[in-house]
Amino acid sequence: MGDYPSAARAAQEALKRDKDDAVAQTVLSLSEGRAASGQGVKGIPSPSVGAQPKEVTAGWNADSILPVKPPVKAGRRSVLVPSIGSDSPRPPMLPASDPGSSPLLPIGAAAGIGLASYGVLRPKQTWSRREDLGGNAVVDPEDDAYWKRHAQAVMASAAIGAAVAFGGPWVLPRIGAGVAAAWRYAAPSFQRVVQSEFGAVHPSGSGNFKNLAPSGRINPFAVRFSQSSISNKLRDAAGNKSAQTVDELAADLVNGKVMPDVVPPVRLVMRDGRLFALDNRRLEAFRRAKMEVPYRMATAEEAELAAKHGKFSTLNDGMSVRIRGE
Amino acid sequence: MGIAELADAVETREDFARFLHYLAEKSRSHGGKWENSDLASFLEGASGWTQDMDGFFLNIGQPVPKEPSWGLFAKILAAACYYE
Repeated sequence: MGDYPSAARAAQEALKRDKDDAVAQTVLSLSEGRAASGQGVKGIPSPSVGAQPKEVTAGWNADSILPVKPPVKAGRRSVLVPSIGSDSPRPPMLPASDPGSSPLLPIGAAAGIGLASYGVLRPKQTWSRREDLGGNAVVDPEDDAYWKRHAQAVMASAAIGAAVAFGGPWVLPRIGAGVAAAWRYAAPSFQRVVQSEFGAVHPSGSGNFKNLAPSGRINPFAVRFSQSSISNKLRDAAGNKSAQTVDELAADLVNGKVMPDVVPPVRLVMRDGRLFALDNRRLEAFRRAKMEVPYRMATAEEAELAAKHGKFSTLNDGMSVRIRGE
Repeated sequence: MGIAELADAVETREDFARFLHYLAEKSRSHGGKWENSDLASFLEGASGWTQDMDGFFLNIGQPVPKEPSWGLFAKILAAACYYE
Protein backbone atom coordinates (compact mmCIF):
# COMPACT_ATOMS: atom_id res chain seq x y z
CA MET A 1 0.00 0.00 0.00
CA GLY A 2 1.16 3.51 -0.64
CA ASP A 3 1.88 6.26 1.76
CA TYR A 4 -1.59 7.72 1.75
CA PRO A 5 -3.65 4.74 2.88
CA SER A 6 -7.08 6.32 2.79
CA ALA A 7 -6.57 7.98 -0.57
CA ALA A 8 -5.05 4.85 -2.00
CA ARG A 9 -7.86 2.74 -0.63
CA ALA A 10 -10.42 5.07 -2.15
CA ALA A 11 -8.58 4.97 -5.46
CA GLN A 12 -8.52 1.20 -5.38
CA GLU A 13 -12.26 1.14 -4.74
CA ALA A 14 -12.77 3.53 -7.64
CA LEU A 15 -10.63 1.38 -9.90
CA LYS A 16 -12.61 -1.70 -8.96
CA ARG A 17 -15.71 0.09 -10.15
CA ASP A 18 -14.06 1.62 -13.21
CA LYS A 19 -10.62 0.39 -14.09
CA ASP A 20 -10.19 3.25 -16.58
CA ASP A 21 -10.73 5.90 -13.97
CA ALA A 22 -7.77 8.17 -14.77
CA VAL A 23 -8.11 10.18 -11.60
CA ALA A 24 -8.05 7.09 -9.43
CA GLN A 25 -5.04 5.76 -11.31
CA THR A 26 -3.17 9.00 -10.80
CA VAL A 27 -4.00 9.17 -7.14
CA LEU A 28 -2.87 5.62 -6.64
CA SER A 29 0.32 6.25 -8.56
CA LEU A 30 1.06 9.36 -6.60
CA SER A 31 0.39 7.66 -3.32
CA GLU A 32 2.86 4.97 -4.21
CA GLY A 33 5.51 7.42 -5.24
CA ARG A 34 5.80 5.89 -8.64
CA ALA A 35 4.04 8.45 -10.78
CA ALA A 36 6.72 9.04 -13.34
CA SER A 37 5.83 11.18 -16.27
CA GLY A 38 2.80 9.75 -17.96
CA GLN A 39 2.77 6.76 -15.71
CA GLY A 40 -0.57 5.88 -14.31
CA VAL A 41 -2.59 7.88 -16.76
CA LYS A 42 -4.53 6.76 -19.71
CA GLY A 43 -2.45 5.23 -22.50
CA ILE A 44 0.40 4.37 -20.23
CA PRO A 45 0.62 1.14 -18.28
CA SER A 46 -1.00 1.69 -14.98
CA PRO A 47 0.57 0.60 -11.76
CA SER A 48 -0.54 -2.56 -10.26
CA VAL A 49 -2.99 -2.11 -7.49
CA GLY A 50 -1.44 -2.50 -4.07
CA ALA A 51 2.12 -2.45 -5.36
CA GLN A 52 4.74 -1.64 -2.77
CA PRO A 53 7.01 1.37 -3.29
CA LYS A 54 10.61 0.90 -4.07
CA GLU A 55 12.88 1.39 -1.13
CA VAL A 56 14.91 4.47 -1.82
CA THR A 57 18.40 4.44 -0.53
CA ALA A 58 19.35 7.88 -1.68
CA GLY A 59 17.45 11.07 -1.16
CA TRP A 60 16.24 11.29 -4.67
CA ASN A 61 14.14 8.79 -6.54
CA ALA A 62 15.05 9.18 -10.16
CA ASP A 63 11.86 7.40 -11.21
CA SER A 64 9.61 9.71 -9.31
CA ILE A 65 8.26 13.17 -10.12
CA LEU A 66 8.13 13.80 -6.38
CA PRO A 67 11.28 14.06 -4.34
CA VAL A 68 11.39 11.43 -1.73
CA LYS A 69 13.17 11.92 1.54
CA PRO A 70 15.89 9.45 2.35
CA PRO A 71 15.01 6.55 4.52
CA VAL A 72 14.81 7.42 8.18
CA LYS A 73 16.41 4.68 10.14
CA ALA A 74 14.51 3.45 13.11
CA GLY A 75 16.60 0.74 14.55
CA ARG A 76 17.33 -1.51 11.61
CA ARG A 77 14.14 -0.68 9.67
CA SER A 78 14.03 1.89 6.96
CA VAL A 79 10.88 3.97 6.50
CA LEU A 80 10.15 5.93 3.39
CA VAL A 81 8.89 9.43 3.97
CA PRO A 82 7.47 11.28 0.97
CA SER A 83 8.31 14.91 0.63
CA ILE A 84 5.01 16.77 0.25
CA GLY A 85 4.77 20.16 -1.28
CA SER A 86 8.38 20.38 -2.26
CA ASP A 87 8.93 20.60 -5.96
CA SER A 88 12.51 21.70 -5.95
CA PRO A 89 15.08 18.98 -6.28
CA ARG A 90 17.35 18.51 -3.31
CA PRO A 91 20.98 17.47 -3.32
CA PRO A 92 21.76 13.96 -2.33
CA MET A 93 22.27 13.57 1.39
CA LEU A 94 24.98 11.59 3.06
CA PRO A 95 23.79 8.41 4.61
CA ALA A 96 23.27 8.68 8.33
CA SER A 97 26.10 7.22 10.32
CA ASP A 98 25.76 4.41 12.72
CA PRO A 99 28.25 5.13 15.46
CA GLY A 100 28.17 1.61 16.71
CA SER A 101 29.37 0.24 13.42
CA SER A 102 31.85 2.98 12.52
CA PRO A 103 35.09 1.52 11.20
CA LEU A 104 36.81 4.50 12.78
CA LEU A 105 35.87 3.36 16.26
CA PRO A 106 39.03 1.35 17.01
CA ILE A 107 41.23 3.98 15.39
CA GLY A 108 39.59 6.75 17.37
CA ALA A 109 39.67 4.79 20.58
CA ALA A 110 43.38 4.07 20.10
CA ALA A 111 44.04 7.72 19.31
CA GLY A 112 42.13 8.82 22.40
CA ILE A 113 43.93 6.39 24.66
CA GLY A 114 47.26 7.33 23.12
CA LEU A 115 46.70 11.05 23.54
CA ALA A 116 45.43 10.65 27.08
CA SER A 117 48.40 8.48 27.99
CA TYR A 118 50.71 11.04 26.51
CA GLY A 119 49.06 13.74 28.60
CA VAL A 120 49.68 11.72 31.75
CA LEU A 121 53.10 10.29 31.05
CA ARG A 122 54.77 13.28 29.48
CA PRO A 123 54.60 15.58 32.50
CA LYS A 124 55.64 12.69 34.72
CA GLN A 125 58.76 12.22 32.66
CA THR A 126 59.47 15.93 32.87
CA TRP A 127 58.79 15.94 36.56
CA SER A 128 61.16 13.10 37.26
CA ARG A 129 64.00 14.95 35.55
CA ARG A 130 63.71 18.03 37.71
CA GLU A 131 66.40 18.00 40.34
CA ASP A 132 68.30 20.62 42.23
CA LEU A 133 72.07 20.95 42.34
CA GLY A 134 72.31 18.28 44.97
CA GLY A 135 70.29 15.80 42.91
CA ASN A 136 67.19 16.16 45.06
CA ALA A 137 63.73 16.49 43.56
CA VAL A 138 62.68 20.09 43.12
CA VAL A 139 59.41 21.13 44.68
CA ASP A 140 57.57 23.19 42.10
CA PRO A 141 55.87 26.18 43.74
CA GLU A 142 53.26 26.01 41.00
CA ASP A 143 52.53 22.39 41.73
CA ASP A 144 48.74 22.73 41.75
CA ALA A 145 48.58 24.78 38.60
CA TYR A 146 51.04 22.40 36.94
CA TRP A 147 48.89 19.32 37.45
CA LYS A 148 45.67 21.17 36.76
CA ARG A 149 47.02 22.19 33.39
CA HIS A 150 47.85 18.63 32.49
CA ALA A 151 44.56 17.29 33.75
CA GLN A 152 42.88 19.70 31.36
CA ALA A 153 45.16 18.57 28.57
CA VAL A 154 44.24 14.94 29.20
CA MET A 155 40.54 15.78 29.06
CA ALA A 156 41.04 17.69 25.83
CA SER A 157 42.90 14.74 24.35
CA ALA A 158 40.14 12.36 25.39
CA ALA A 159 37.55 14.67 23.81
CA ILE A 160 39.44 14.60 20.53
CA GLY A 161 39.68 10.82 20.71
CA ALA A 162 35.93 10.55 21.27
CA ALA A 163 35.30 12.85 18.33
CA VAL A 164 37.43 10.60 16.15
CA ALA A 165 35.71 7.49 17.42
CA PHE A 166 32.14 8.63 16.95
CA GLY A 167 32.63 11.10 14.18
CA GLY A 168 31.31 8.99 11.30
CA PRO A 169 31.41 10.85 7.99
CA TRP A 170 31.82 14.14 9.86
CA VAL A 171 34.99 13.09 11.61
CA LEU A 172 37.18 15.89 10.28
CA PRO A 173 34.82 18.75 11.18
CA ARG A 174 34.27 17.18 14.58
CA ILE A 175 37.97 16.89 15.22
CA GLY A 176 38.31 20.54 14.21
CA ALA A 177 35.53 21.52 16.58
CA GLY A 178 37.09 19.42 19.33
CA VAL A 179 40.49 21.02 18.90
CA ALA A 180 38.92 24.50 18.79
CA ALA A 181 36.96 23.80 21.95
CA ALA A 182 39.99 22.39 23.68
CA TRP A 183 42.02 25.40 22.61
CA ARG A 184 39.35 27.71 23.96
CA TYR A 185 38.43 26.02 27.21
CA ALA A 186 41.55 24.17 28.22
CA ALA A 187 43.80 27.14 27.51
CA PRO A 188 46.47 27.78 28.47
CA SER A 189 47.18 24.17 29.38
CA PHE A 190 46.38 22.67 26.00
CA GLN A 191 48.18 25.47 24.22
CA ARG A 192 51.23 24.92 26.39
CA VAL A 193 51.28 21.21 25.61
CA VAL A 194 50.90 21.81 21.87
CA GLN A 195 53.39 24.66 21.81
CA SER A 196 55.90 22.60 23.70
CA GLU A 197 55.86 20.00 20.97
CA PHE A 198 56.64 22.65 18.39
CA GLY A 199 59.57 24.03 20.32
CA ALA A 200 58.06 27.13 21.87
CA VAL A 201 57.35 26.63 25.55
CA HIS A 202 57.64 23.58 27.72
CA PRO A 203 54.63 22.88 29.97
CA SER A 204 56.81 23.07 33.04
CA GLY A 205 58.27 26.38 31.94
CA SER A 206 61.63 24.83 31.14
CA GLY A 207 63.47 23.27 28.32
CA ASN A 208 62.63 23.52 24.70
CA PHE A 209 63.42 27.01 23.39
CA LYS A 210 65.14 26.09 20.17
CA ASN A 211 62.85 28.31 18.09
CA LEU A 212 63.00 31.32 20.38
CA ALA A 213 63.49 34.62 18.53
CA PRO A 214 66.33 36.96 19.61
CA SER A 215 63.74 39.41 20.92
CA GLY A 216 60.00 39.68 21.32
CA ARG A 217 57.54 38.80 24.03
CA ILE A 218 57.37 35.67 26.12
CA ASN A 219 55.24 34.10 28.80
CA PRO A 220 56.94 35.27 32.03
CA PHE A 221 56.23 31.91 33.66
CA ALA A 222 58.42 30.22 31.07
CA VAL A 223 61.43 32.22 32.31
CA ARG A 224 63.38 31.47 35.47
CA PHE A 225 64.85 33.82 38.01
CA SER A 226 68.62 34.05 38.20
CA GLN A 227 68.67 35.51 41.71
CA SER A 228 67.57 33.98 44.96
CA SER A 229 66.07 37.28 46.13
CA ILE A 230 65.36 40.74 44.71
CA SER A 231 64.70 44.17 46.13
CA ASN A 232 61.08 45.27 45.88
CA LYS A 233 62.25 48.67 44.60
CA LEU A 234 62.88 49.27 40.93
CA ARG A 235 65.64 51.54 39.71
CA ASP A 236 65.33 54.66 37.61
CA ALA A 237 67.24 55.47 34.43
CA ALA A 238 70.20 56.78 36.45
CA GLY A 239 70.57 53.50 38.27
CA ASN A 240 69.12 54.80 41.55
CA LYS A 241 66.34 53.05 43.35
CA SER A 242 63.07 54.66 42.36
CA ALA A 243 59.98 55.05 44.47
CA GLN A 244 58.14 52.51 42.33
CA THR A 245 57.90 48.99 43.65
CA VAL A 246 57.51 45.72 41.78
CA ASP A 247 53.88 45.55 42.86
CA GLU A 248 53.17 49.08 41.67
CA LEU A 249 54.65 48.37 38.24
CA ALA A 250 52.48 45.26 38.01
CA ALA A 251 49.40 47.31 38.91
CA ASP A 252 50.29 49.99 36.36
CA LEU A 253 50.66 47.31 33.69
CA VAL A 254 47.28 45.86 34.54
CA ASN A 255 45.39 49.15 34.58
CA GLY A 256 47.13 50.45 31.46
CA LYS A 257 49.08 53.29 33.02
CA VAL A 258 52.25 51.67 31.76
CA MET A 259 52.31 49.96 28.39
CA PRO A 260 54.44 46.79 28.22
CA ASP A 261 56.45 48.11 25.29
CA VAL A 262 57.62 51.10 27.36
CA VAL A 263 59.29 48.82 29.90
CA PRO A 264 62.87 47.93 28.90
CA PRO A 265 63.03 44.33 27.68
CA VAL A 266 64.13 41.70 30.15
CA ARG A 267 67.50 40.28 29.17
CA LEU A 268 67.53 36.49 28.93
CA VAL A 269 70.33 33.96 28.95
CA MET A 270 70.16 30.27 28.09
CA ARG A 271 71.75 27.85 30.52
CA ASP A 272 71.53 24.10 29.97
CA GLY A 273 68.44 24.57 27.83
CA ARG A 274 66.78 26.73 30.45
CA LEU A 275 65.93 30.38 30.12
CA PHE A 276 67.00 32.72 32.93
CA ALA A 277 66.31 36.42 33.36
CA LEU A 278 69.01 38.92 34.22
CA ASP A 279 66.34 41.49 35.11
CA ASN A 280 64.45 39.67 37.79
CA ARG A 281 62.35 42.55 39.14
CA ARG A 282 60.75 43.29 35.79
CA LEU A 283 60.13 39.60 35.29
CA GLU A 284 58.39 39.40 38.66
CA ALA A 285 56.27 42.48 37.83
CA PHE A 286 55.07 40.90 34.56
CA ARG A 287 54.39 37.62 36.34
CA ARG A 288 52.19 39.45 38.83
CA ALA A 289 50.47 41.31 36.01
CA LYS A 290 50.05 37.99 34.15
CA MET A 291 51.18 39.66 30.94
CA GLU A 292 53.70 38.61 28.32
CA VAL A 293 57.03 40.25 29.02
CA PRO A 294 59.17 42.00 26.38
CA TYR A 295 62.58 40.34 26.18
CA ARG A 296 65.81 40.24 24.28
CA MET A 297 68.61 37.75 24.46
CA ALA A 298 71.53 39.12 26.46
CA THR A 299 74.81 39.71 24.72
CA ALA A 300 77.73 37.42 25.58
CA GLU A 301 79.34 40.31 27.44
CA GLU A 302 76.20 40.93 29.54
CA ALA A 303 75.87 37.26 30.36
CA GLU A 304 79.51 37.00 31.38
CA LEU A 305 79.34 40.14 33.50
CA ALA A 306 76.21 38.88 35.30
CA ALA A 307 77.81 35.53 36.03
CA LYS A 308 81.03 37.09 37.33
CA HIS A 309 79.14 39.48 39.61
CA GLY A 310 77.22 36.78 41.41
CA LYS A 311 73.89 37.12 39.60
CA PHE A 312 73.13 33.40 39.58
CA SER A 313 72.38 32.86 43.24
CA THR A 314 69.13 30.92 42.87
CA LEU A 315 68.87 27.82 45.00
CA ASN A 316 65.69 26.40 43.46
CA ASP A 317 66.62 26.44 39.79
CA GLY A 318 64.95 29.81 39.31
CA MET A 319 61.46 28.55 40.01
CA SER A 320 60.68 31.38 42.44
CA VAL A 321 62.26 34.45 43.98
CA ARG A 322 62.12 36.02 47.41
CA ILE A 323 61.23 39.71 47.55
CA ARG A 324 63.22 41.74 50.02
CA GLY A 325 61.36 44.57 51.71
CA GLU A 326 57.83 43.24 51.30
CA MET B 1 90.77 43.91 34.40
CA GLY B 2 87.24 44.41 35.62
CA ILE B 3 85.75 44.74 39.07
CA ALA B 4 84.96 41.05 39.37
CA GLU B 5 88.46 39.94 38.34
CA LEU B 6 90.02 42.43 40.72
CA ALA B 7 87.81 41.20 43.57
CA ASP B 8 88.89 37.62 42.83
CA ALA B 9 92.52 38.69 43.20
CA VAL B 10 92.06 40.27 46.64
CA GLU B 11 93.88 38.35 49.36
CA THR B 12 95.41 40.91 51.73
CA ARG B 13 94.30 44.12 53.40
CA GLU B 14 96.43 46.08 50.87
CA ASP B 15 94.69 44.32 47.98
CA PHE B 16 91.35 45.21 49.47
CA ALA B 17 92.35 48.87 49.87
CA ARG B 18 93.39 49.02 46.20
CA PHE B 19 90.15 47.37 45.23
CA LEU B 20 88.12 49.95 47.15
CA HIS B 21 90.00 52.76 45.44
CA TYR B 22 89.28 51.22 42.03
CA LEU B 23 85.63 50.74 42.95
CA ALA B 24 85.32 54.39 43.98
CA GLU B 25 86.71 55.49 40.63
CA LYS B 26 84.38 53.18 38.74
CA SER B 27 81.38 54.42 40.70
CA ARG B 28 81.89 57.82 39.12
CA SER B 29 82.47 56.57 35.60
CA HIS B 30 80.27 53.52 35.01
CA GLY B 31 77.84 55.57 32.92
CA GLY B 32 74.65 54.06 34.31
CA LYS B 33 75.73 50.45 33.81
CA TRP B 34 75.57 49.62 37.48
CA GLU B 35 72.29 48.34 38.82
CA ASN B 36 72.85 50.23 42.09
CA SER B 37 74.37 53.67 41.78
CA ASP B 38 73.30 55.50 44.93
CA LEU B 39 74.70 54.51 48.30
CA ALA B 40 71.41 53.23 49.71
CA SER B 41 70.71 50.87 46.82
CA PHE B 42 74.38 49.78 46.74
CA LEU B 43 74.27 48.80 50.40
CA GLU B 44 70.93 47.07 49.92
CA GLY B 45 72.42 45.10 47.02
CA ALA B 46 75.38 44.16 49.24
CA SER B 47 72.99 42.99 51.94
CA GLY B 48 70.93 40.93 49.47
CA TRP B 49 73.93 39.18 47.97
CA THR B 50 75.44 38.47 51.39
CA GLN B 51 72.22 36.64 52.25
CA ASP B 52 72.09 34.82 48.91
CA MET B 53 75.77 34.02 48.36
CA ASP B 54 75.33 30.33 49.19
CA GLY B 55 73.46 29.87 45.92
CA PHE B 56 76.20 31.61 43.95
CA PHE B 57 78.97 29.44 45.34
CA LEU B 58 76.95 26.25 44.95
CA ASN B 59 76.07 27.12 41.35
CA ILE B 60 79.73 27.56 40.41
CA GLY B 61 80.73 24.43 42.26
CA GLN B 62 82.73 26.09 45.01
CA PRO B 63 82.35 25.60 48.76
CA VAL B 64 80.47 28.28 50.65
CA PRO B 65 83.01 30.30 52.71
CA LYS B 66 82.67 29.59 56.41
CA GLU B 67 84.83 32.48 57.59
CA PRO B 68 84.97 36.07 56.28
CA SER B 69 88.06 37.20 54.40
CA TRP B 70 89.36 40.27 52.54
CA GLY B 71 88.58 38.48 49.33
CA LEU B 72 85.00 37.76 50.39
CA PHE B 73 84.45 41.39 51.35
CA ALA B 74 85.64 42.38 47.90
CA LYS B 75 83.26 39.89 46.28
CA ILE B 76 80.35 41.27 48.26
CA LEU B 77 81.09 44.80 47.09
CA ALA B 78 81.60 43.68 43.49
CA ALA B 79 78.26 41.87 43.53
CA ALA B 80 76.56 44.90 45.09
CA CYS B 81 77.13 46.86 41.89
CA TYR B 82 74.74 44.66 39.91
CA TYR B 83 72.64 42.68 42.38
CA GLU B 84 68.96 43.59 42.19
